[in-house]
Amino acid sequence: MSKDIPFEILTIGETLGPIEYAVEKKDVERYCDDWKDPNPMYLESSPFGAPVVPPAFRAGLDSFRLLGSKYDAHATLGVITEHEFINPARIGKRLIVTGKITDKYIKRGIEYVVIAYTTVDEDGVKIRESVDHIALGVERRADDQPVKEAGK
Amino acid sequence: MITSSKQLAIGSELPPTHHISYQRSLVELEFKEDSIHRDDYTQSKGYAGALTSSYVLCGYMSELMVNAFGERYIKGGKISIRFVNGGVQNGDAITVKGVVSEKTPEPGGVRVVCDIWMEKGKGVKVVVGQASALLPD
Repeated sequence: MSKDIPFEILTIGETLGPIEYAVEKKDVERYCDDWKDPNPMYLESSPFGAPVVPPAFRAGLDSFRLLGSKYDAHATLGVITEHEFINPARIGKRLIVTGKITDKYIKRGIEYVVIAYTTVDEDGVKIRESVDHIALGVERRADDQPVKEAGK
Repeated sequence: MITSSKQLAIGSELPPTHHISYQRSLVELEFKEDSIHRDDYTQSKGYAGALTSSYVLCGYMSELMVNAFGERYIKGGKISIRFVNGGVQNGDAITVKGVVSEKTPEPGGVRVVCDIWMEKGKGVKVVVGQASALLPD
């Protein structure tokens, strides 16, 4: 069980964030370098006009930042990540991410929280809808039962 | 690049991608003693070493779809993936593959759904899921 995020205090419907950050050209260049994915749509031009931010940029990271804005999330682990790419993000724009806890459950003694979150840019353009399932840690609960689910 | 759903039959394979997995923060940052990004902690829990973050793996999975479908995945695409079998460690040779599993009409075109997965080592699947793009009919 998590000693940093008491499972019992997590509340379905609890809001998280917002968090905000800008995606600059250097961030995209670093992404392309780290992922070895120098797609010209990210670096030169795209069918959307200017280059765009890779759709999966921080996809599955912002939920940890949202959880971390309220709790100590350093020992958590992503297990499922889901995204719908509604519009491409533009380089240089600020992105605003808001989320909420939509479920929590225990499976094979591991505690999980489900976070749904929305990313919009500074102009209000919706960029991405996402849902992540996060394990609060890899330690099993002391009261581990074969399968016990909560919040569903 | 695929521009029409007619170019793809169920069972069509997407061109795979190959990488050596790399997450900069695993090299540059210090993590607390019970972080899944530490070798000693994860190895004590039965993993091969520090776990690569989900957002890094999502980037590799997404590349497969961008390469195949371009802007039709960047705007209107979807992805849902699960991390299994001990995850990925920095330096692992990984291959991302996909195969068309479904074509469903919806407003604006046909949604082409692909089963996608990542393999490491001798074909062990470490990421599994589905992704889709909306293409003209």
